[in-house]
Amino acid sequence: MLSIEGLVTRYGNVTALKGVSLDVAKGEIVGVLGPNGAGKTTTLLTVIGLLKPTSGRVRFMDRDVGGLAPDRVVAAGVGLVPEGRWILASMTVRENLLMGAYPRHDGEAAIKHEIDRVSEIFPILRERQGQRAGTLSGGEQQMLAIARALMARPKLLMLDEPTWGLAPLVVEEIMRVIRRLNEEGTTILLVEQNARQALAVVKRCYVLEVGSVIFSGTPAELKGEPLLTQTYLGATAR
Amino acid sequence: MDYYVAIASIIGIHALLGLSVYVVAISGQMSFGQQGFFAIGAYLAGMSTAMWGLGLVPALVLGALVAGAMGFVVGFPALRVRGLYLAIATFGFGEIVRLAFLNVRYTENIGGRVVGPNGAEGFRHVRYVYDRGFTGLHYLAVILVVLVVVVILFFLLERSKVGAKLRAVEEDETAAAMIGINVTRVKVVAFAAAAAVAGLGGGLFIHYSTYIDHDMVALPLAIASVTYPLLGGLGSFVGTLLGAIVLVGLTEGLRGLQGMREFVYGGLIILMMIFRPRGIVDEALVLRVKSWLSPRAPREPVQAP
Repeated sequence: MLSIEGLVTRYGNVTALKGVSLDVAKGEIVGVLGPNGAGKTTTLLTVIGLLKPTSGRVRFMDRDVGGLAPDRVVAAGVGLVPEGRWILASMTVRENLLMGAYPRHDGEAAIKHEIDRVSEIFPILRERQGQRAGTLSGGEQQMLAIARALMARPKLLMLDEPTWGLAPLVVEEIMRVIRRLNEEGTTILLVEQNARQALAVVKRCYVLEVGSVIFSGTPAELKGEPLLTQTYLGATAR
Repeated sequence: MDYYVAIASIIGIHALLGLSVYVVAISGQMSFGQQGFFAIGAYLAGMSTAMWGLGLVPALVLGALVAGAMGFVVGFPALRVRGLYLAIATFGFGEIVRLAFLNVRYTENIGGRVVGPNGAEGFRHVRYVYDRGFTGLHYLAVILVVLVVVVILFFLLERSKVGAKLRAVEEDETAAAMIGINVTRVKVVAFAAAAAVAGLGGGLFIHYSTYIDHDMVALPLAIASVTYPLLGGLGSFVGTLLGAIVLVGLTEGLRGLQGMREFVYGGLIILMMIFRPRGIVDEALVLRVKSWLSPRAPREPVQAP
């Protein structure tokens, strides 16, 4: 579904991605791990079109989307839940959700139905509908960010560190939702620094380090790499 | 009576100019160049009635359309820059327009009068309205009708998809882009619409005053037009209307104080900045009014089960 080949992205003269290649097949749930500065977020931002690649290809559902503007990529069916959430703080929860539906052109009824669907996934959002998004707790804001991305009915949902800075119970709930969305048919690309959490959910993963893919395989295979396991899961992980 | 009619007319015209800045402001930008579009609308509408024999309505529409088209053309390059840079760029545009009209001579002799843009002497004798027996009160009605139409359009705009997109872009361009909004298109369309509203105000102005010159569309007008929405608050277009009423009203109402007028005026502005830094009608007030108006939306957050 998503196929990235030899992606190179630069910030000025700093090369953040040095030829990253990765694939996500339809229905899969794939993780991208790695330390700070490895290029995880850069990869997502390049796919969505906020950053322009210097070279390399991004194909989504047999279409070349490398270098397209974000609105075209979103319209093609890619959703991004960005790091740091980027909700529209002065708008209400409901308005934020409606904003997420704007790439769609299938009428009020379908959008209402979608609001009901995401409110069923995150019941707290139904209760908070009229509240300003900026007044939500961190966990609620993250749920809103995910729900807003879902409003566009993405075929591929990319999540950038969705559990960052959240309480353990909320982390569990977010992870449960991610698994559920995948089971219901949404293809997922999950970027996480919290490797243990991510590995419990994903079927396959990539490890990035300073702009290059240094490992790709299943979580079980990753556990067979002592050095990587030690680096990213801590020495005590089994 | 005539005096109050005149003040009301000026408020109406300046409100349009303020609304023009407001549209740009709610897409997250600040323009100091809307007086340029005001000038374009004024000169074009003036030439239409005084020289080309058009009626008032086609003249106003033509002025607004040409100003809007200019807004579209200027919008693409100008909106690549933001903040202070955009303020400078748009002010530069306003100055270009002003200096262009300082130099343009395109006059005709009509009934012994020199009519048309005449360089530094300005554009005189746009008497279409008064030649047809309109009184100041009649023309005030015209201004108010136009203002009401524009306000209705704004009301619809704020409830529409486009209005919501504008607010999203204002709040956070990156977030807006990430949820699939074409940020450039939204900004350029808003800028063009804003320019058209300013042009409409200009067309109304020249027919009200019968006269315009380059000096009238210089920096003071730019500052006034930005002050209306900022003082009124960016929560709703109503703020801009209030801003125009308060500021023009103050300018006139404080005349009795003579030399003290500027002191009192400045003092009131400073008090505003202290007590309502986000303007009279700020976002918080708008949310509160909205929750009064729609009893279905819960006012207090409901406790989680």
